[in-house]
Amino acid sequence: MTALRAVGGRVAGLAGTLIGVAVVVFALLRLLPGDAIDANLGTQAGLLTAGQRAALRRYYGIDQSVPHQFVTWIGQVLHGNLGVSVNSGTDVATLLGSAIPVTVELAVLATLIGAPLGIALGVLAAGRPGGARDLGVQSAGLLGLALPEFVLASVVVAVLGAVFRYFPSAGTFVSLSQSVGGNLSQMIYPALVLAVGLAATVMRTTRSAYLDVARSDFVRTARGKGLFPRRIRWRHVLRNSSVPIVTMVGIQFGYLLGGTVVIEQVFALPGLGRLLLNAILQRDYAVVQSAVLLIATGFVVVNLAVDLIYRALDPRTAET
Amino acid sequence: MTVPPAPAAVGAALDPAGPPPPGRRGVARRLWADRNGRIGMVVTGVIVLGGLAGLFGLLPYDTVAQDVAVRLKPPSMSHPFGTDQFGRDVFSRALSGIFASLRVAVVSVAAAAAAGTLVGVVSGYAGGWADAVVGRLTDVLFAFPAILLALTVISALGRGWPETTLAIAIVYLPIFIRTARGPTLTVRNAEYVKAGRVLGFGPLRLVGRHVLPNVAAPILVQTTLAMSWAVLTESTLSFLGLGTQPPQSSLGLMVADGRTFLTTEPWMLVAPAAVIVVLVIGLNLLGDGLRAALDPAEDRS
Repeated sequence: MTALRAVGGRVAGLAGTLIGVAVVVFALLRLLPGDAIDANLGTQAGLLTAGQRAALRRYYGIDQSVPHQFVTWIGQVLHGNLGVSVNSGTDVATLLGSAIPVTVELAVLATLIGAPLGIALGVLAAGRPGGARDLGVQSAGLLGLALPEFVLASVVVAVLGAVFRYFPSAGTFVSLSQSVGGNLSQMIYPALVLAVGLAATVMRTTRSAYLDVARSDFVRTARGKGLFPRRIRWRHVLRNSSVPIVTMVGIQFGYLLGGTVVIEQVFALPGLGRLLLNAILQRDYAVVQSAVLLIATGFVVVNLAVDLIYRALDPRTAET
Repeated sequence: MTVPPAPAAVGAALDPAGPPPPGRRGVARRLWADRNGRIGMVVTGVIVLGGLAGLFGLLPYDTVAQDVAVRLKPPSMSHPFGTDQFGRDVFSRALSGIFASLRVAVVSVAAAAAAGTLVGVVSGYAGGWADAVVGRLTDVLFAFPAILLALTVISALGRGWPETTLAIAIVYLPIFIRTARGPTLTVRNAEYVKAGRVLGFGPLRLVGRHVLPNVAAPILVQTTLAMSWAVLTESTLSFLGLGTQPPQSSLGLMVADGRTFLTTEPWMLVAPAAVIVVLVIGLNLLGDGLRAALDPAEDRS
């Protein structure tokens, strides 16, 4: 019952945060110089008569008070009406709908590759702290964190082009529903690049969580009982360090939903990040607004899910 | 420090000074004794010197002027990192790129650290509705993945390095607020602060003498790590065409330019990329070293 109430509280907090996110997104677009009329007509807006301008202001709804505009906008968003992209003339909801699967698939693939790799490397490094393997893994991890994604992605694209005569930006994108193999052959390289940074972060978390647990009394007891080291390592130590590891993987997955911008741009993948970047470059604010709101919502929901998994994994946290 | 009035002077003798802040000399020595800290200090120092050379114009070549006669030349004695497609010296451009990156990173992180510490300490110490409001606001800013928040701010402000600076400062503000607020909450209810309050010390003295020294260490560590992230973000945004604008040089822009020439003239991409990697590693090691040097608990481990 108390657990249920705690979960309810988190969901209510999430709703409050999302309203705050919507206010921030809305307010940022209010900061822009000029109004919707200037944005759509450009320099020709100066030729409008006062009467035409007033009529247009009524048409766009910007003659209303700002709070009224906000409520109207949110009402439309909740009904699935996200407006129309100025540049492509397409419904924003349709644009987002085709971009979401690409980004989500990329994030899932990167996590599936990076998380097990990071955990394995973390356990390997923690096996003998300060040893040669530890030093090697830690150095590789530091390099993985310091190597910018755009550098790694650029190098991978160049090597694919020079050695394998494969040019990601030349062909058209194949979706998962069209051809699983064709899609995966396009997605695997960007996913691998994303997995490097994720694996490095997960490795660091795994290593420190593993070392924390390995120092505890029950592990010493298990060793004293004569259990096989391998059994101690996987059953006793890794299992009990799972909470921070799972949390970190979840947080990283959430970041990927909004952090695939660079990869999508370099590999020319039609995901959310590329949609957002192009919208920013072309000042297509209906798309910017909706894409940011959508990504932030996804991020917050993933974080809530991580929190709930955390509670399930460690019953002690549910009591507080 | 001004001389306190008579009643407080009595209190000062009784003032159970919290954990004594480690002396500046002590921290520097401990940082040097730590292997990570030592490497971090040296590596970061060398790169910062390069950036200063860029700032004061102590460069072998002009970073913007084009010279078609020497375009795409491999590294040599006269051009240690080679030249780019416009005949500009890659070494000179890399040094001024370091300055461009550090300018954004230092200004944005300093602004975020100062504002975040102020807001975090005040709201944590005051408590009540002010703290609740600050807590909700930081929650909202945390709801954006970092790079997304930076992109959103840039979409509203426009492209360029000052805009990038403000965007990175906004991304880091909630992190510094949380970093400052946590220790403030702990110290606020500590015995020695309660004792000080009983002795009639004003909030300014309590915050200045007891809260800030406890907040300083985590803020300093966070600042170093934030710098490394800010360098990465600045170069990412410039790579995407949203940060520093050409023909000014920037490490991210140089990588973007070098992409087309990677298989034939690799130095154009490798030089700026290596500078970014080395700088970020240096800042990370410095942060790790500072954490070890400032944490009394890690003294013996």
